[in-house]
Order: sequence, then structure tokens, then C-alpha cells
Amino acid sequence: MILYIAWLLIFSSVFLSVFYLSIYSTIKDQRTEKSALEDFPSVTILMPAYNEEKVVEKALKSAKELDYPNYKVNFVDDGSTDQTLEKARKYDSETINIIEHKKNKGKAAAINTALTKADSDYVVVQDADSEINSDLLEAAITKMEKNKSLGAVIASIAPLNPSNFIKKLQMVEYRLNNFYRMLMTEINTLNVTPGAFSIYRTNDIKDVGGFDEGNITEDLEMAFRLRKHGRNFEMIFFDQTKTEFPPTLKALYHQRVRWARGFIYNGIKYREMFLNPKYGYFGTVQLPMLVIMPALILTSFLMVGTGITQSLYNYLVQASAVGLHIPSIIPTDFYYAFLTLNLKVYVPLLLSLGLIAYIINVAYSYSGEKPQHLPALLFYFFAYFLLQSGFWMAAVIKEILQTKKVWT
Amino acid sequence: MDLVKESLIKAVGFTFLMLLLGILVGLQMDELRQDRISGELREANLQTETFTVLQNYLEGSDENFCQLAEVRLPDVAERNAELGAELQRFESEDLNDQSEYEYLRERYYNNQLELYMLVNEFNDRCGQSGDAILYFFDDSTESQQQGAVLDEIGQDNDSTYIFSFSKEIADNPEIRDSPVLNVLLEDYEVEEAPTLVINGEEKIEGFISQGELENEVLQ
Repeated sequence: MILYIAWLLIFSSVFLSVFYLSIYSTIKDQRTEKSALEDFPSVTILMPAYNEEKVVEKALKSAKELDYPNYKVNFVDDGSTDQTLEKARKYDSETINIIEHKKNKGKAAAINTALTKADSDYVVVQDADSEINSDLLEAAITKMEKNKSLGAVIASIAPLNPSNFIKKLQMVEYRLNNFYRMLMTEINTLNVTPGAFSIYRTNDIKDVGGFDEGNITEDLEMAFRLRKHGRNFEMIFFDQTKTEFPPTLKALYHQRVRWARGFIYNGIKYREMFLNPKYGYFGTVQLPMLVIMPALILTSFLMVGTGITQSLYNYLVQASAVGLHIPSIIPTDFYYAFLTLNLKVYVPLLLSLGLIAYIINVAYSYSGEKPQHLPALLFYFFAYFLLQSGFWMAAVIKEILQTKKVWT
Repeated sequence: MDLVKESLIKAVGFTFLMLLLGILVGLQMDELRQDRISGELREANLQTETFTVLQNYLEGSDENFCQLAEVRLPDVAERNAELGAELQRFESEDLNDQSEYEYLRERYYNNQLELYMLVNEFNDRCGQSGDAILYFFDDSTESQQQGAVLDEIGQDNDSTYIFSFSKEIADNPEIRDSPVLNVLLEDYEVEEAPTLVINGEEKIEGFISQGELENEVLQ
């Protein structure tokens, strides 16, 4: 039984790797695409903020310096209890409009407040802990103008100041996620419009009723909702938005558990889209993959956990009978040791890991970078799934217990 | 064909090839393991047979028989114990159907019984005080503990011979019966595991610690 579960995990990983590599083999280099804007549609950047005093000025400064002639910023302080509002007011100008919520209402409500005051052709959602490349806006609008069926354009996400191991780990993760999102763009299955930077048509967002204020992952919900209304998304790979990553394991845990709970909630809310050919490959391929991935991660964790527990249990059972012995690592009979190897699992596993390593390398080289932060890279490669499964387990338990959903 | 369908087909094809590779590697490893067990079993059978032939030839000369047995019996028994451990380990890794291992195990049990009788004869004819232990186990925690105790005793003491038999084989109707095992279970009225039969006389049911076994039971 364990063999078949191990094979299922390995072959699922191989399947996904080959699937995306096959898509990669057909893509064009986006760097060759040039802006084709003849006029510049109006844009409003919707920037919600709650207790972002450390980063808000940088975000507003970057928003003020965008290389685009026709845009405004609607900044909403969502009842911050720190100096966010005071710092933001320094940037109050013709371009930057500062709006105040006396009480904290939540991120989606803050975005909606900014949205109601927007009368532009496009709106951009940009978190107050994010900075966007100066030419990103023009590149994104070029895409939207070129393809009228597009509901949103997103950008690659990179870290602001990746100073510690946890941030570097996320940097590796995002490098790969950006790459996968770029590939999803190719097959029109992109499923996210992140808060760090997403541009929408203002009418689209208003027509669907704005952001869901009761939702802890309002960006994911909006993506699902727009997909349901027949909109497609694209990604700009070579222009980035930089954002603050959670700096500690605890902060990362809270963020990821919120994301996972948001996915469960929105997955159930939009369940009719799963496997539904009406929504194209988004419904028949992407959504099932989004369910299968955490299931595989959790199963891997359970397998590794069971294996370690079983070995430890066996060791303790023997120790309880004859006392503690340090097991010999060096075999006396190498051929026997070879025969005890479970090669029917190890050989496919090594090939599967090789494929993943190759994809990571491709993701870096496609971005024009060399793999860096080796300890974080190795941890991501070999052990990150353990962290991910912890986040997912916590999310599932919290959903089952129906604990309060908090935006953290 | 569109890109997604083409990529899905490539992914299914490649995954299928990997599955085939896994199965082929598994089957090849099964072959290698069975070859190893067969080779060792052949060697163990030959040693036991040689011993039996010499025992018959030296029937009139206890002195020569005892000298021969004293030198060779511990080696033969140790090798047999290792063979049993390998057989059990490899059997759990088997990808194929179990019939080949059932056959190998039956031959191994035959050899065990033959060796057990030789040890008893060695003790009788040569006035030795070594112990021959029949050990019936299953996959319970107690059996695991008992196995660890017997491993320790076997390693520490050259004159203790341990002959292990899986009681689960008799309990599981899906596994081919071993006549040798059935006779032993019936003879000694073994109902549970672990059970030890010491020198064909004393039967201990349930786990017994190393200290108790060494100090109170073994000679």
C-alpha cells in the first residue's frame, strides 16, 4: 500500500513537471514585446493600508514616480493605530488622494472605498507594503488594451529587502511561482490576482460589485469571480512588483494559513467551476490541480511522518527490550545493503527530484538570474513541503473547527 | 492539437514511462534478491547435508563427530539465522507475487528443522549444554521485542542456537502452508506469538526479558 502511495506522489510530481516543461518549450521570450500605447487610458491605484508605518512612505514614493502620464492614487488608511496615516499625509497631492477610515473595516472594504472614488478606465490594486517598477503600469495597460477579453494583468513578485532566511526561502518560492504563473498565462489558467499588483478594468470590478468584504483572501475571490464572468488574466514576467515578505516563521504561518483557508472557502463558494468545461482549462485543469497539490503535499508529509514515526517506534521497541544501541551506519555487506534499497521508489524519486531541480534552474535562467541563497534553495527543495503541509493542516483544522477568520 | 492537450499527452506518456521504469527496477531487484536467497539457501542446504552425511559416516566415533560439530555447527547456525533475516526482509520488499518466496521459505524451514535436529544430537552425543530455541513470532510489538532479545543472546553466546518461524504463515490462509511449521506448531501446541520452546521441553508463551531468559531458563 505504501509503495502505491509513494508512486502516486512521485508520478503526480513527474506529471506536473513534464506538463509545465512542455508548455515552457513553446513560449516566446516576453522581453521582445514592446509597448504599443498610442494614448494613455486613465488609471487609479487603489492602495489600502493598515498599520504600515514602516513601509508606507516607500510605497507612496514609488507610486508617485511611475513612468505613466495619466494616473492617480487613492490611498485608504483603514483605521491604523500607528503612524501610517500621518506619514501618508505627507504625500497628499494632486496625484495622491488620502482617504481615512476612522475604524478598521478590513482590506476589502478599504479597497472598495478607494474604488468608489475612482472614475478611471483602469484600477490597480497595490498593497501599501509593495513597490512597483516605474514602467510596469504602461506594460500592463498595453496588454489590457491589446486584448479586450482580459480581466486582469498581474506582475512578477519579488521581495523588498530579503534580509533573513525566511524571506530568502520565500524568494526562492516566488521565483518558481512567478515562472509557473507565466506558464499558466500561456494556457490561460492563471488563477490569482495578487494584492501586490493587479490591474483591472474599473467597469469590470464595479459591475461584479467590488471586492467581497467578508473574505480573508479578497484577491483570490475576485480572481475566481472574474473567471466566472468569463474574464481571462495575464502576467507580465519581466516587470516586477516588490513587496514585503513575512519576516518570521510565525508571520509566514499566519499568512499561509489565511491563504489556505481563503482557498478552501472560495473553492467551496465557486465549486461549480471545478471540472466545468464552461470555464475552459481553468475549470478542467487548473482548479483540480489547485486541489490536488495540497492533497499531495499533505500526503507526502503523512508518508514521511509515518516513516519516521515507524522507524522511531521500532527502535524504541527494540530499545525497551535490550537497551539503547547506536545503529551501525556503515554496512558490512555492501551487496546486501544495495539489495535492501527500495530502488523501485528511489529511482523514480531521484528522476522526479531531478526534474524539479531542472525546473528551478530553468525558472532562474529564464529570469536572467543564477540560483542564489543556497541554504534557502536546498531547504525549499528538500523540506519546504513539510512547512507547507503544516500550514495546510492548520488551515483544514481551523476550517473544520470554524475558528474566526482574521486578516493577518 | 492545442498546447494543453499536447502537454497533457506528453505528461501522461512520460509518467507512464517512469512507472514502467519503476516496475522494471522493482522486478529486477526482486530477481537479484531471490538469486541471493537461493544461492545462500543452496549453500546452507549443502552445509547441512554435508554435516548430516558426515554425522552418519562418523556414527561410530563420537569424538570425531563432536570435534566436527563443535567447529562447524556455530557457523552453519549463524549463517542460517542471517539467511532467515534476509529472507524476511526481502519478502517484505517483494513486488511480484509471493509464490517464489513461499517456496524459498519452505526450503529454509526444512533446513532449519534439519539443523535443529543436528544441534539436539550434538548436545546428546557430545554432552554439550548448548540451548536450541524454537522461536515462533508474528508482527506484534512483543514479538519485535523478543526478536531483539534473541538477537542479543545469539550474538553473545555461541552455544545458543535460535531457529525462528513465522507463526503468521500458519494463521494466514492466503499464504501457502509449510508442513514443517505446521508439525512444529502442533507438536508444541503453539497458540500465540511470541512463543519460545527451549530444548524441546520448556515452552514460554509471551515476552520474556533477556535477563530472565539468560538467568532462569537457559543452561
